[in-house]
Amino acid sequence: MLIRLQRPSRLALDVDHGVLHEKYLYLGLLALVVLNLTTAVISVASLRNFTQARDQARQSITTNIEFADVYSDLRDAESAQRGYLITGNQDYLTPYASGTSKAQQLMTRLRREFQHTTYNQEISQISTLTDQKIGEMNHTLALRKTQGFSAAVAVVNTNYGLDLMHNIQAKLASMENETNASTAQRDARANRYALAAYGGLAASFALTLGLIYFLRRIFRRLRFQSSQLEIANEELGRSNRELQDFASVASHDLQEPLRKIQAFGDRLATTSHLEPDTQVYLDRMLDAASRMRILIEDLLTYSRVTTKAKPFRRVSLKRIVQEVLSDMEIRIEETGAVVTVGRLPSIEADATQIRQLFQNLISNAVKFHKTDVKPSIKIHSKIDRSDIQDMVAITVEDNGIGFDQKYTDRIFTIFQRLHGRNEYEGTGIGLAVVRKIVERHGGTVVAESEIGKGSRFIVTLPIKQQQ
Amino acid sequence: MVEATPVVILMADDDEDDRMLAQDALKESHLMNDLRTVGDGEELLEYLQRRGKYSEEGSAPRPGIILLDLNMPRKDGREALKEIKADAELRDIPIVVFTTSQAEEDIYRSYKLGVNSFITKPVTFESLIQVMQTLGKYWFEVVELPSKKQ
Repeated sequence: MLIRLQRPSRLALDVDHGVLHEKYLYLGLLALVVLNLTTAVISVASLRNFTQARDQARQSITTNIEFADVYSDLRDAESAQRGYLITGNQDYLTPYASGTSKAQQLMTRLRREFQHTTYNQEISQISTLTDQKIGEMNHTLALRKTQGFSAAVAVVNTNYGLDLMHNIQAKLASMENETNASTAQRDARANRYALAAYGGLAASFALTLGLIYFLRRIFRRLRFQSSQLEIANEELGRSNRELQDFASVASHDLQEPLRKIQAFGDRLATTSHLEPDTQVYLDRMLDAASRMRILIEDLLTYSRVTTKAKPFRRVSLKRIVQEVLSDMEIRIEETGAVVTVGRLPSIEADATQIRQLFQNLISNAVKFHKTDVKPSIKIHSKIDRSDIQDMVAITVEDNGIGFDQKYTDRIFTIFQRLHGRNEYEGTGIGLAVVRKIVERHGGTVVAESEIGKGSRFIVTLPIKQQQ
Repeated sequence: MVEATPVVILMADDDEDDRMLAQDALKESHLMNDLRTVGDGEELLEYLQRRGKYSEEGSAPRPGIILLDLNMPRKDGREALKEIKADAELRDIPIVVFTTSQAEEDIYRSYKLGVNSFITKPVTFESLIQVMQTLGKYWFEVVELPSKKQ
C-alpha cells in the first residue's frame, strides 16, 4: 500500500517558534531577577553613602566650629596679651588665662578625637603650633612683667607670633577644605550610585514590559496551537470512524463472496464424482479461498488494535499469562512444552490487547520448536525505574529453531514470514499485531535470536499510562 | 418421544444462496420440516403478523422456530428481533439467530434481547447438514415447544 508522505504542517513549524519564545521568556526572567538584585544592592550602597556623607558633613560642621573656637580663643588671648603689653594692667591676665586654657583644652580634646583618623598628623601639627603660640605669648607677657614694654615689643616685632597665627589659620582652613572635599566626594559617589539605581529601575521596568509582551505572544500562540490540536483531534476521530466503517464493511461484504465460493466448492467436492485432476483443481481453489478468508480476518484483527482499543486499566500480567496458558493447554500438552513463568507486575494497559500479545508470543514460541526437542519457554520480567517513566521489560524466550538476527525487522512486518506455507502454518500477522499493541501502549519490542539456539522477545511497557 | 409433526421453520435471510443451501441441508438431514423463507425484517414481521402479501388465510402458518439472520436490508435482524419480543402474540416463538457474524457484541446483544440460541453459519456443507440435524433433533425431538394457538 502506497503511503503519501505529507509536508510538515504549519502546526509543526509554529511549535518550533513557540519553543524559542519560551527560551527568551526564561532568559528575560533571569535577567530581570539579576537586574533587580543588582539595583537593590546599588540602592543600599547609595543609601549608605548618603547617610555616611550626611553624618560626615554634620561631623565636619561641628569640628569646624570647634576649630574656629580654638582660633577665636587664641585671638581672645592675643588681644588680652596685647592689652597687657600696652597697659601693664593685671586685669588683662584673667581673660588671657581663660582664652589660652580654653584653647588648650579644646586642642587636647580634638587631638584625642582625631587620634585614629587621617587628620591625626595635621591636628598634632596644629596642636604644636597652638602650644608654640601660647608659649610665645607667655614669653612676651613674662618679658613685659620683668623687663618692661620695649623688651616685650621687640619679641612681638619679630612677627614670630604673627606667623604662628597665620600658620594656624592656614592649617585650620586647609583642614576645613579637606573635610568638605571628602564629604563632597562621598556625596558625589552616593549620587552616582543613586543614578545607577534609577537606571536599574528603569531597565527593570522596560524588561518587565518586554516580558509581558512576550508572554502575550506566547499565550496567543498557545491558544492558536490548542485550537489546531482540537481540529486535528476531530479529524483523527473522523478518520478513525471511517476506518471502523471500512473494517466492518470488509468484514461482512468482502467475506461474503468468499464464503459462497467455499460453500459451493465444498458441495461440489463432497457430492460430485470428479476426475482426479478436477478434484485437485477444486481443492486448490478451495484452499486459496480459505487462505483469503484467513488473510482478511487477520487484517481485521490488525486494524482492530486501534479501532477496538479499550481504555487503560490496571491489569495483572501474571493473571493474563496464566489465562493464555490455560487457553493453550491442549497445544502445550500436545508438544510437551514446559512453560516457566517468573514474577510479573501489574501495569496500566488494555487487558484484551495484552492477552493477544502474550497469546501471539507464546504460540510462536510453541509453534517454532525443534522437532526432536521439547519446547521450553521461560517468561520473566525486570522493572526498570527511571526519572522519566518506570518501565517493565518482559522477556519471552524459547529453545526453538531461532532465526537469523538480520531478519529482526522483517518478522514484525505484517504478512512477512520466514518460512513457506507448508512448513509452518500462519499468515505472518502475529508479531505485527504484537508490535502494534506495544506501540499503542507506548513501549518497544525487540527480538534476539540465533539459528538453532532459540529466540528471545523482549517487550518493554510503561507501568503507568498517561490517559 | 413426541411424534414429529412437520413443524414450520421460518428462515429470515436476505442471501438467496444461503436460503438455498439451508433448504438443501434440511433435505439431506432428512428432517421432515416445512421451510418457509423471507428476505428481510419487514417481510418477517409481515409474515408473522399475517399482513400484506401474507394476509391470505393459510399463507403464513405459524412457525415453530425462527432462524434469523442479523444483517438484512430494509429492516435487519436486530430490529425485527426487538419487535417480535415486544409483541405478546409472537414473543413465545423460539428464535435462533443464524448469522455470519462472530462479533461478540452481536452475540451479547442478541441474548440480551432474548434469543434462544446464537449460531454462526458454518462454511462447509457438511457442517451445515450437521447443524440442521442438531437443530431439528434438539428443537423438535428433545425440547417441548408451546402448543400452537389457533
